[in-house]
Amino acid sequence: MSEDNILEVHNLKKYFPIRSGIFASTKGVMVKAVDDISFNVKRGETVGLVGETGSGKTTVGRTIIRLYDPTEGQVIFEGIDIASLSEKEMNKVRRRLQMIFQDPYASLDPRLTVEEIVTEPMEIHNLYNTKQERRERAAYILNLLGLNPEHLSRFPHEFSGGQRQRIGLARALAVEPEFIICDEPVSALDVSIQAQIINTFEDLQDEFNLTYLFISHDLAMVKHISDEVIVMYLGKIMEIAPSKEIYDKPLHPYTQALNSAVPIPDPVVEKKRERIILEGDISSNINLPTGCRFNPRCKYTMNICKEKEPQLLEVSAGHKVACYLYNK
Amino acid sequence: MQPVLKVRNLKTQFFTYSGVVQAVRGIDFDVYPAEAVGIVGESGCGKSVTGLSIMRLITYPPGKIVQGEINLDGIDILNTPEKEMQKIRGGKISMIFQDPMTSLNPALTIGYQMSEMLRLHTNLKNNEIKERVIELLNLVRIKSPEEVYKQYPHQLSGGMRQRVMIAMAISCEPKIIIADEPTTSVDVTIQAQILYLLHDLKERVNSSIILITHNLAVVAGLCSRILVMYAGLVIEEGSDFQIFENPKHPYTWGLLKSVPRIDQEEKEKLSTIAGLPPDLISPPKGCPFSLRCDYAMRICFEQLPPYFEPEKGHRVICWLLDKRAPAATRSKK
Repeated sequence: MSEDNILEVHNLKKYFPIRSGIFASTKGVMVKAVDDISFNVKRGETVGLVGETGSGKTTVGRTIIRLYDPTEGQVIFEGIDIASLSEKEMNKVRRRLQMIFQDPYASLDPRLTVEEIVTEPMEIHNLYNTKQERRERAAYILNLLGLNPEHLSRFPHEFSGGQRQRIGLARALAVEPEFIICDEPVSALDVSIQAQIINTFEDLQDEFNLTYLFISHDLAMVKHISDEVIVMYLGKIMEIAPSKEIYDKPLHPYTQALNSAVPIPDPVVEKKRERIILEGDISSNINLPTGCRFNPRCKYTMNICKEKEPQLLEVSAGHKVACYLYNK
Repeated sequence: MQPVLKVRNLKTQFFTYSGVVQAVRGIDFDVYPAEAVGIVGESGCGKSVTGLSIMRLITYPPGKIVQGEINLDGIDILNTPEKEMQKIRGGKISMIFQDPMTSLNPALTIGYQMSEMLRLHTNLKNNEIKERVIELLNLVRIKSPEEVYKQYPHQLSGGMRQRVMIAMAISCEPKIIIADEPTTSVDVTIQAQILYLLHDLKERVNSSIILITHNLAVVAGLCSRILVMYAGLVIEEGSDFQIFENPKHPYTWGLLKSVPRIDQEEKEKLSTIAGLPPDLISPPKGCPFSLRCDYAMRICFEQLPPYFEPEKGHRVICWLLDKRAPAATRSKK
C-alpha cells in the first residue's frame, strides 16, 4: 500500500444472483454488476466515477462501504482490508468512511428531527459524552453548512431538496470522517442549488482534508469537481485519467462518445461540434458480449475486440485505458 | 409569416388548502411554423404548467386557467368544447412527457397504443394503420419495428420507450409538439440520440417544437428562440444567440454561470444564486427575482418592471434596462 493512497480497490467483483421462479436454482445466472475492477484514491483528492445506468458505478460505492458484501476482491482502506472484516469491525471503520445518497427525500427518516438525524451517528460511535455536547456539535455542523442551527427541532419535510441534501451531508460529517462516498448527490436538485452544494463540498474538502469518491452520470460536473475520473461501462473500467485529460485527450471510444453527448450551453460551439451518436442502448449485464463489452456500439471494432477482453493499461502518466486501439 | 400558436396573458392558478398558487402569472409568446422554442427554468417556475395549459390538460379542481388567450392555428383553445379538444389533442398538437414508463399503458402492446392514435384521428384502414405505425417506428430509428409492434412497454429500454412516445406524438403530423423534459430520465448518450432525432424530425415532419427543460445546455443545440421563466413569468426571451451570448437579466446570468461546462479549460468555482425561488401563493410585489438579485435597486422591491426591448426580438423584465438605472454588466467569468 502506497503512503498517499487512502483507498485501494483490488480486483473487486460484485455479482447478484437472479431467481426467475420460486423453485429455480440460482446457480449460474448472475448479473455481473461490478466485474474485476481496481483503482486507487489518494488522500485529500476527489475521484469521479462516471457511467450510464447499469454501468455499476453505484454498486462500486455500496460495495466499498459494505452495504453489499463483495463477491471477490480487496478493498484496502488505510491499510486494512475492509472487504473481509466482520460486521462489528466494519461498523468501527464506518466512522471514518461515510456515504451521501442521491435522493434527499428518501434518505432521511421522516419521523426523526434534524437533531436526531445528525446526532444518531455520534451516539452509535460514542463520540460525545452528553446529549448537550452532541447537540452543540450538530449545531456547529449545521452552521458550517449554511443551515440555521435553530432548525434542529424541525422535521425533514419542512426543508427544500437542497437543504435536505445539506442535512444528509451534516449527518455524514457528524462523525468526522476522512472519506465520503457521494452517490449522485446533486442530480435530484435544480441547477442553481446544485452549484451551492458543489461549492460546499469543495469548501469542506479544503477545511477538513476530506477525500471524496464522487459518483455521477453528469460528466461535466464530475470533470469540474474531480482530480481524477474513472469511466465505467457494464461493470468494467474503460478509462482512468486526470480530469483535464478526460475531455482534452479522451482515448477510449466510449469516453469520446460520452464527451460528445454532453451538451454545451453555447449555441455557437454547439453548432460547430462534431457529434458522435452512439447507436443502441447499453447491453444487458446478464448476457455480456464476448470480448470488449463496448464492441457492439463501437465504430472501431476489430476482430480481436470480439474475442478477448482488453486489459486496462497505462498509456501515459496517470492515464489508463482498456482498448486494443492503444494496446497493439 | 403568421404564428401557428399565440399565447396572450395566460394565467393559470391552483386552488389549494393553503391558498391560491399563481403558477403562471401572465405570459405572452408566439411560436412560428417549423420553429423550435425552448422554455427554460427551475422547478416551480411554471414551465410545465404552461405546456399543460396549452394542451388544456389542467384539471379543475385544483387547477384553472383564469385568464388569457391561446390561439392555435386559428382555433381559440380556451373556448373550445372538450369534445372538439379531444380531436385537436394528438391531431394538431401533441405532447411528449418526461417519464415514458408511466405515460405508456403497461397492459397494451406498443402497436395497439400507436394504432389507437391513428384510428381516432385519421380515416386509414386497419392494414394501412399498421403500415403507418411501422413506418413511424422506422422514422424514430427503432431497429426491428415489426418486433416492437408486438411488444409491451416493459420489454423496451428507457430510450426506446421515449422514441415510441415521440413516434406517437408525430403520428398525425401535428402543428406543434410540446416536449416536456423529454431527456431528463435518460442517460446522456440516449439524450444525444433523442435530441438529434427531434432536430431531424422537425425538418422532416415540418412541426414546431416547444421544448420544456431545466437544462440550458439542452436547448442550445436545438432551439432558435428561448424563453427563460421564473416564478410564473417569462423574465427574458430572445434568440439563442441573444440568450447565450448577450443575456440581459441577472437571473439568466446566474443560470448560465452555475453550470460547469465540459469544454472549460481551467477549473473555477461555480457561481451560485443565493436563496430560493419565491413562494407563489404570495409572490413578491416587485420583481420576483429581487430577493436573490445582486443588482437589486429600491424600485425592484416595489414595482414589477415592464418588458424592455434592448434589441429586436429580445424582451427582458428588468429595471436595469431602464434609462435611469446605473449601468450593470455581467461579470464575465
